[in-house]
Amino acid sequence: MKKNDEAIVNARAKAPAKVLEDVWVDFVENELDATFQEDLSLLLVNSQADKQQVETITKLRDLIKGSDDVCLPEDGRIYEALHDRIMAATANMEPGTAVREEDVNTVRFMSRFTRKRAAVGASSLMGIAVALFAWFGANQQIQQMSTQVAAVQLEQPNEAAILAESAASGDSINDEVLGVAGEDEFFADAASQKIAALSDQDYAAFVADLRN
Amino acid sequence: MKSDLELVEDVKNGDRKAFSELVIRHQRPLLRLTMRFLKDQMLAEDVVQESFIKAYEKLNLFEGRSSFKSWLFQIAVNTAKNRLRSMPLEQVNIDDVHLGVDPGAESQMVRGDISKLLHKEVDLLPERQRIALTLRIFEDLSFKEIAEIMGCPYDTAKANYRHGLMRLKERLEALQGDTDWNDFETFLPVEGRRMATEADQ
Repeated sequence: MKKNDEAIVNARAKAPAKVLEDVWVDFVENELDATFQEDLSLLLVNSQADKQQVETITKLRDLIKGSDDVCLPEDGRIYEALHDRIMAATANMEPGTAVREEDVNTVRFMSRFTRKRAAVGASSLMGIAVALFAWFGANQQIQQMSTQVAAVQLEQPNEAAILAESAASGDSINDEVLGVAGEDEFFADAASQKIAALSDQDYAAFVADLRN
Repeated sequence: MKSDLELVEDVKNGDRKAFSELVIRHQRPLLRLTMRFLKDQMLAEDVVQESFIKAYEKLNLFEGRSSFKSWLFQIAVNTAKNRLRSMPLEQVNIDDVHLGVDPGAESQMVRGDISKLLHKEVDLLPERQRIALTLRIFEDLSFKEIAEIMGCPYDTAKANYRHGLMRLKERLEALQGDTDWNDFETFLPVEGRRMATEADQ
């Protein structure tokens, strides 16, 4: 017994307080196995702190139990009336006609599954229809564009033909074909040509003017 | 006298008298249980009636793995819970709330009205802790029965009870300060005092 005591004391030293409190609640509730219950009883003899804890739990339990204020009516007629009401309510019912919850759940699952499958099918069909529609639309647009390009190509004579024609006729080359330089570009070209033609002396004077 | 299981079999075979016997046998404990949750006799009677009707309807689903009483209590607890949820919340007029001025007032209140305070604290517990505590302390049910009624494993029922009890302990200690727990004994009714003495012995 003394060995047991030591073992419990050692276990107590290692165990966190919460576990001990739980053990004492189980002890008060007589929920531990007989041997452990007996061992703990022995521990209580020697440990004032544990004894205090058990007393507290026991008193709290008794306080709650003692505070019970539910008073059942003593008048037997109340129970007779309640009994009659229950019997009358079940008079036209068959006992045990309820559907099992699992069965209800299975039916719910199946219907949900069927609904889900139908929804998935419908959305897939819709997706395919939209894809086909888009494909046809795009195809049509591509065809239209290529027709337009072909028409434009037919309407516009090519650049080489225009140049040859203007060279033969001696007219100025069509701006639309050769492109036009901007005004700034024109003056820049003229200035650079002029500067290139300057003598060294004139160039130095020109640079000095610019600096001043 | 026939057992509950025998009576259930008779009811399944169409014996109405057997059902009447089951009602007579269980209506009082069921009324007491529902009155604990609903605090109103009329409401509790309604819930008892509804529970028996549900039990009659679902009798084919009762497989006898638990006792008929546990099964019936489970139906009653769930029905009472649903009824409580459908009830509007109690409203308190702010003018009716009196704030304590005297620092000792709270302590005196606890001493003077320990039962009311305990009831209030039990009501404030989380639902599952409250049910486990009520079934264990007031209805003297085993944890196996409590687990069956609550539809949870045995250890969970025990843990709910423990947490509920410890929470009440903490609340009382917080309200009482460093008062000795032995002081509470004088507030116990005679029955409670007798039990406390027996427990001490």
